[in-house]
Amino acid sequence: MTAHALASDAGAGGRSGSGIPLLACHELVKSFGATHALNGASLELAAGEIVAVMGPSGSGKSTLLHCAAGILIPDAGEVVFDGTSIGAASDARRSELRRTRFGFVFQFGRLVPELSCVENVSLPLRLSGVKSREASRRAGEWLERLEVTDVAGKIPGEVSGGQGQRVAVARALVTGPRVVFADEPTGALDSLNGERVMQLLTTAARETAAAVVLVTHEARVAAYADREVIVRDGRTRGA
Amino acid sequence: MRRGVSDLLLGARLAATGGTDSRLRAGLTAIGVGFGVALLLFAASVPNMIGAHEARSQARMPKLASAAHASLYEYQADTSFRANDITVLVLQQAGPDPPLPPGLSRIPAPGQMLVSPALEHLLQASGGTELARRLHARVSGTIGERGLNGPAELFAYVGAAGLRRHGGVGVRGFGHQLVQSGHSPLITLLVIMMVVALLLPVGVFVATASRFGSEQRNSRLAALRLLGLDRSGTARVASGEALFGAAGGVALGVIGFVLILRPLVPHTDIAGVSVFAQDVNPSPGLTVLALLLVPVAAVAFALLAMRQVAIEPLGVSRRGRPPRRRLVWRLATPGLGFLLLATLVGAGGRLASAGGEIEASAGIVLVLVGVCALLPWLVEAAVLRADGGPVAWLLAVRRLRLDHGTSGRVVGAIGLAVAGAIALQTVFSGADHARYVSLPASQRGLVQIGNMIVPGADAERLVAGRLRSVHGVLDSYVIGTGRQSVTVASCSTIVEFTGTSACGPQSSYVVSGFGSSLRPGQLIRLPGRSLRVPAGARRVSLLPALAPEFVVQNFYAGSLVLTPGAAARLGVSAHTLAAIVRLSPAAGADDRLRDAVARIDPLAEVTDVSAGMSPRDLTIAKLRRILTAGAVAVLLVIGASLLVSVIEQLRERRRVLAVMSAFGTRASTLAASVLWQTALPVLLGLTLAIVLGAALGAVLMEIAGLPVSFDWGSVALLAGAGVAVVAAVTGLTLPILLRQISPEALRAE
Repeated sequence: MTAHALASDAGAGGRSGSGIPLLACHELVKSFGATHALNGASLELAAGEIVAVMGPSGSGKSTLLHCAAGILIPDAGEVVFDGTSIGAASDARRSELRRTRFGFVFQFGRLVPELSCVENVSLPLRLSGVKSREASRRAGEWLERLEVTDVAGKIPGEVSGGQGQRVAVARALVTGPRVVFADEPTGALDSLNGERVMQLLTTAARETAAAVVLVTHEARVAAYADREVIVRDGRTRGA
Repeated sequence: MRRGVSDLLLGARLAATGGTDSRLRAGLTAIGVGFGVALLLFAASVPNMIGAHEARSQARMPKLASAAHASLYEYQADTSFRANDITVLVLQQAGPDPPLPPGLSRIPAPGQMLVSPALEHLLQASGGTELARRLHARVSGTIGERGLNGPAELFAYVGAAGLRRHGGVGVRGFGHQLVQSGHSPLITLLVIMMVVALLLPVGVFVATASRFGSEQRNSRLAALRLLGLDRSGTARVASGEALFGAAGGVALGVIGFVLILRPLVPHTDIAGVSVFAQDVNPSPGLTVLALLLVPVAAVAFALLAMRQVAIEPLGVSRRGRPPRRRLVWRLATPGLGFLLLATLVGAGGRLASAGGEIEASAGIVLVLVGVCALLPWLVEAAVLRADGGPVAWLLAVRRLRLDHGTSGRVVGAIGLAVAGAIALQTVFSGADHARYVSLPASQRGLVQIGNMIVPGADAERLVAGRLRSVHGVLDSYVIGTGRQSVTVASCSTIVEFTGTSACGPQSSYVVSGFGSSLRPGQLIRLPGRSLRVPAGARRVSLLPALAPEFVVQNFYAGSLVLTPGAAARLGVSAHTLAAIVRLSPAAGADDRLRDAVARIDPLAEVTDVSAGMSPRDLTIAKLRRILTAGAVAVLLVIGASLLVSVIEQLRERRRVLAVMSAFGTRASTLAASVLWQTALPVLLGLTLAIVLGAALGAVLMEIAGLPVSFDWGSVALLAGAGVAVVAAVTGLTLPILLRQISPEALRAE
């Protein structure tokens, strides 16, 4: 079954068994000066669902992801997570959401260069108040699941791009997030490493029932998703 | 060769056209280099400034002539007005064509005076008439620049009569060449250390500025690598870029020196010492050195900074863990410095020689540079052992572990400045302590007045009465000073200063003590006659509290002291009168006393014994003021370096900060990590600076032969100032940090 077929099967898609989406973006509008990044984009995501957001460069994919994750506040429209609108939430509340409910994977990993890999993975836990020893233990487990135990004590500058990205995936999943936002997670990797990272990410997400918003322009990567949403000129299709 | 030049030019072109960051970096490098060049040009002018100052002083130094053949008499009658020391030279024309001091077109007639522009300004200010009345003269003109040491000098030539009676000297001309005695070892040490402590932080600022925006520069160099530029070519392009900023800095520095610093100098008066702008001329050799050294240093700093990253065709990566720093040479630097200084302990005379000065300079420089050398190692050793703790602390410690060199260098400048300042304050404190010890409580508030010529038989009583009537005078003792070593004093004065209890109307005494050879019955020669010391003269000693150098003329060890009755019996009369006055510390008492003395005899000499300041002490006071001004300037420069450094770090880390903010890191956590990252090296730096600074101060005190004592108040003040700089820098960078983690910044990432 192809990703496209999955999307079609989902129909309106993104609905959980109860029919209420875990994350819903309605008619989002976002401008940066004279540039209209989003112009009525919508997206719905069910719990445990993996959605690929595709589109050409500059179409508004990343802006949609940032709005959905509460990083950016849309000029118009609404973002609802788990039945609560996060558009009106305070910065502290949105930060807490990102710390406890969301996970992030970026194109270049974006690990904190001065921390070792295991410390990078344990960082979100430490920020949530988990004790250092417990955070390290859980981080170690995730590194093992993502097959990068050997780089645990190394700093990001000492590991390969593929290893770094797997550490970044571990960091995104270590808090047990409800949604993982992945912005071009394989964009900086060769195809072999890219494939491996996607396998590990989607497998781990499914095992933990985490939903994934996967921004990509590669059909090969999008194939790991349950369905696709196409963004073009700030509008979505298949949302 | 052509390739090299082409790479350098490419670097310069990229600096000029490479966008805002490039221009900002070039601008900051230019400011740093400009500051360094201007300061070095000023430092290079110091030898000429001192030379010009000495030449001006010597140009007005009188060439003495015998009184009988002189056409001009000169008498020095310095005074003080509201704590301003005024040099007063009293002149009396004694024949045709008298020699003219430099800056004068005529000798002032009695009752007239020619004053320096600064003194004229003081006279015109409130209270000026009081001073004019004290000098018994009205202003009839000003002294030309040629006759002054500096624009702020308070100087007057006063015309008067009867100078010969007061001991005025005959003058046949001006421009007497003095054999220079050289500066005291203490002064030499202080000047060397102040120059080092001021210049090294500027070097650190240049180093910091040349690193600004290096991330963008490195990305550009990586792109050039992709196009085929090899590693050495990369270094040449980076050098070209740094040279572009440095060349601008040289121009900025020269312009700043000529148009700002040099014209500002005449308006600067430190403890009454000022310099004319035309005397601020950098030595050619030192100028060339400064103009070459600073740009070369800027390029070297830029290249050194590039060692921390690997610039490859596919991008820039920070090298893994930096290599461990070696302790040996870092310890050897201050160790060698202390060793060099230790060889000078107990050999103060050697310090005055050229070799000694070089040895002392090298020693001081090595110790102070040692602070900079040891600090990165100390920071590294500390952060390698510091682990655990809250996230903010962890982030700061790990950041320092990865790149402690940058903070270490910048904070090293604070450490260097604080160590230098603490060492200087220790020396000042010791010098003050030494002076204080030599001035017992019994001498505080004492003013001595000498060379008063008052006609009349009851002159002594008259003078005593006038002095006692001055508000603020607690006690006064008037003595008559005869020719040679004869003193006439009342019983009360003799009892006060010798401690003897036996004094009658006909008593006589010989004062024994160091170098005393006078004994009862001895014949002493006076002008035109001889006098036998009375056989019954008692031997007395001056009270130990009265150091000989502070005692009124003739009342010293070896003098014959007579009561008025004994003087009359022996046919001795006082040639001049002298007095010792004890003043209350009330404000204005000194000026009131000087006014009263001027009414008794305008040419009397008034010396504030309680101030107890020798010329050397005055120089120390001047240096202390320079130190304060210098410390403020250095702290500002260091604060600017820290600010640039922290801003650059935030810019370099904007992606990481944005990502950390994305996954919910609180702004307070990130702010605290920035604070710890700055504060930890500063705390270590200050500790090291206090230890090395105090040790350096102690060694310098030993060299200068002064007792070692520490001014902990100053230490605390300087340490506090260092912490305040860090706090200010952190506060100023917070808005930038908050902007980096704002949603707009996240979007950009």
